Amino acid sequence: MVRKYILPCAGYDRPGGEVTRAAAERLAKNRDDVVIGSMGALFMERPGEMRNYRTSDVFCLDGCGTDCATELVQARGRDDATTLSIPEITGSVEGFEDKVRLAVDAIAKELDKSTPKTSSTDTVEPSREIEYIKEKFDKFVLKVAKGLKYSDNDFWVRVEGEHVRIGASDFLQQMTSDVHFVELAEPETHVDMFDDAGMMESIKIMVEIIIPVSGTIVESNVLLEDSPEFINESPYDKGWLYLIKPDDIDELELLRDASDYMTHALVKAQEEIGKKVE
Amino acid sequence: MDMTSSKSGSGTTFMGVDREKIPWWPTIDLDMCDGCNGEYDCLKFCPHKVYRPLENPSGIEVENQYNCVVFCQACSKMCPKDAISFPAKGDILKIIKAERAK
Repeated sequence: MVRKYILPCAGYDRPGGEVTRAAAERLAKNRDDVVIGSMGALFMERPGEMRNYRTSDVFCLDGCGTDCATELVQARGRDDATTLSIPEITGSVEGFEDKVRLAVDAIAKELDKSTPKTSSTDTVEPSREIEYIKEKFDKFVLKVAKGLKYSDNDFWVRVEGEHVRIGASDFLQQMTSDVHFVELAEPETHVDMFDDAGMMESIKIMVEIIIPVSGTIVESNVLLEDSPEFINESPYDKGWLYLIKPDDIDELELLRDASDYMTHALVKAQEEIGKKVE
Repeated sequence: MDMTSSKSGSGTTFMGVDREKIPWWPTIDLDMCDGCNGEYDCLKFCPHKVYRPLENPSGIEVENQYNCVVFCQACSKMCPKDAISFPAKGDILKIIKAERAK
């Protein structure tokens, strides 16, 4: 299910603004795929708001000719939002309740016809197609996801538009074994390349999360608090750790590509197990 | 066993740079370190045999500096006396970049 982020305009004290807000609230009450956006929070780029914003299809409800919702959404980097001009939609009727009803119907129609426009950055149900390089070592199979960058500390980096997502490699999760506790740094924390930010703990060991790229944490994978096993079950997908706005994307050139990292990881795996790779 | 980089010691590389060229290992403040009264928390914690215990007085010293995993400083967080410090990461990264550029 792709979530719908409805952004009513900021004209609370104007007739159009009142209608957009009432319509949004009614929709959110009756549908579980709708969240109401906040102009203020979106303007301030608050982390929780930005998470909803990025992972949802966006619908702007403009209450007057200022089109402030649409303007802000464009300023926040979305050019795929659906814009609805509420005065145009409701112009044919007079009463407030009638206007709200018309608006709700029109918005619902847009919500239902929307094919998913968001990329698969939905953190709740990620559904990426990941291609792997696979190698056997001992009785294990080591998986390295193609197209990512890897640090020598065994963390991966995936470029996603202007952000990067990071996580622990399959090798790291296998060596750590079952993670039962994860502690993550808060969004808005700035980290330098190779700083540690948070940790994960298994029965065997505590592992520092060593950040492979400088930047500002935009989002932490809060689902890991309740489901730390995602790190083991889905290290390159559901087990991601942080979404980061990088300071300098060129820094990634310091990291390894997938095939290079596989070579590196196999050497380490041999060391760990003390056996030759078949 | 350490996860952040398992292969360690001299003769290895980190980010393509010989480990011996990267001055990353802990420094112990022996005025503060009391060897945890013979418990040696850092020694027990670190799986890389970086440390060696000292007796009379009880303390700790770095025995295998190149075994230390570059950018790992987990042991310093285990230290109840806050006696373990590491170099600035930025300085080390500069050294690594300079070596890579050679």
